[in-house]
Amino acid sequence: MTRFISHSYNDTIDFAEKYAQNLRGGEILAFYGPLGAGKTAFAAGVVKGLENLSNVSSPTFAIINDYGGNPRIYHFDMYRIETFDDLYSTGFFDYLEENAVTLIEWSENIEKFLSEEYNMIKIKISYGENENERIIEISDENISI
Amino acid sequence: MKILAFDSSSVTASAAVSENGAITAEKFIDTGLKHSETLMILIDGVLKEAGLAVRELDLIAPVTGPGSFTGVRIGVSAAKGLAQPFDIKCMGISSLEAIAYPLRNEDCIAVPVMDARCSQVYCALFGCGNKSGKSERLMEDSALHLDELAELLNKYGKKKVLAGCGSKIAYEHLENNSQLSTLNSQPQNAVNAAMLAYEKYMAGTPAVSCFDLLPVYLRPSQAERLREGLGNRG
Repeated sequence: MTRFISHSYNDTIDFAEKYAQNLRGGEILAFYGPLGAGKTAFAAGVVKGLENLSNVSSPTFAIINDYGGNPRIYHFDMYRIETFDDLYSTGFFDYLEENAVTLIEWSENIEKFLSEEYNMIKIKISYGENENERIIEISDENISI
Repeated sequence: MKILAFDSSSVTASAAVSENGAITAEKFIDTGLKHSETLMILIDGVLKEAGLAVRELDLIAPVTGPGSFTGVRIGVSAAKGLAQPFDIKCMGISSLEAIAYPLRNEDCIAVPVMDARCSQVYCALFGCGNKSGKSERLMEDSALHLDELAELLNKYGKKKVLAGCGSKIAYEHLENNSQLSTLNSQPQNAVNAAMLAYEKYMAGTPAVSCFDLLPVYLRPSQAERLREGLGNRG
């Protein structure tokens, strides 16, 4: 596990941007953390780090944003996904076939449907002691920042 | 009798044209799930090779599932779009029945299997090797957990042949259950859907208007319950 302390919104973005250099396509980044933790900030940093100029926002209502690019980036928000049928009808499993970098917010909701066969990296973001402090834990040992 | 069939229900995509039960053109690609970009090119290709315009078709036979959610939607939408302007009749073909079709003359039980994720498969059973040359459906298209499939197959003593994109995971699972079965790894091909559509049409299966053509999404609710019973393994 890799642990990082962020002291601000921009700090999270900068860290994620550097972290993105480890991604080659085919990874699923599963975010865990409460509202306001900075999941979307991390996602925005990854998109920026992969030299993709898209505007990043949580697809809370669209459920999925397609940012294109190479590697292609898909951004899911599973906040409203509750059942396997919900997940199936987003086309989620089809997107996984594409060797894209897949960002998933609210992974808590679909955790039991994420198979271990996938190249999945868990990113847990929690509140630190100070107001703007966040603790970012990445379930990947071999990363360079 | 001119039939256009296509299959975008799994990772592969294919299209075929038949005239009076004989295949006159076919195309197949296995380049990943980009059916929204490739299916129409395949359809255009087989129609050109067969020397046919869309309006000359008597029947459009898309594979309507079960399978990939996006793929099934693309196939059904394509069929509706092609059929509507010329009021061409449609006939949805089961992906599983099409997978089992090449095994119809082999003395076995054909077990078409597609990966439905989370240890679930879409599957059906067909008794093959009948004198009539036609297979006999032994079970409706279903979404089952691999354990349920294993249990089901235990009831049949006859040789079982697994086929389809989920056959490999099912084969590995069944081996663990020390079941005898063999593997047929032929990819899905619209040729089988075209042949099936012709046979069904000739046997009196009614074709439908494009407005009544529907996708088939099987709900793996039973499998989901089973999995939840195993607890959260994430």
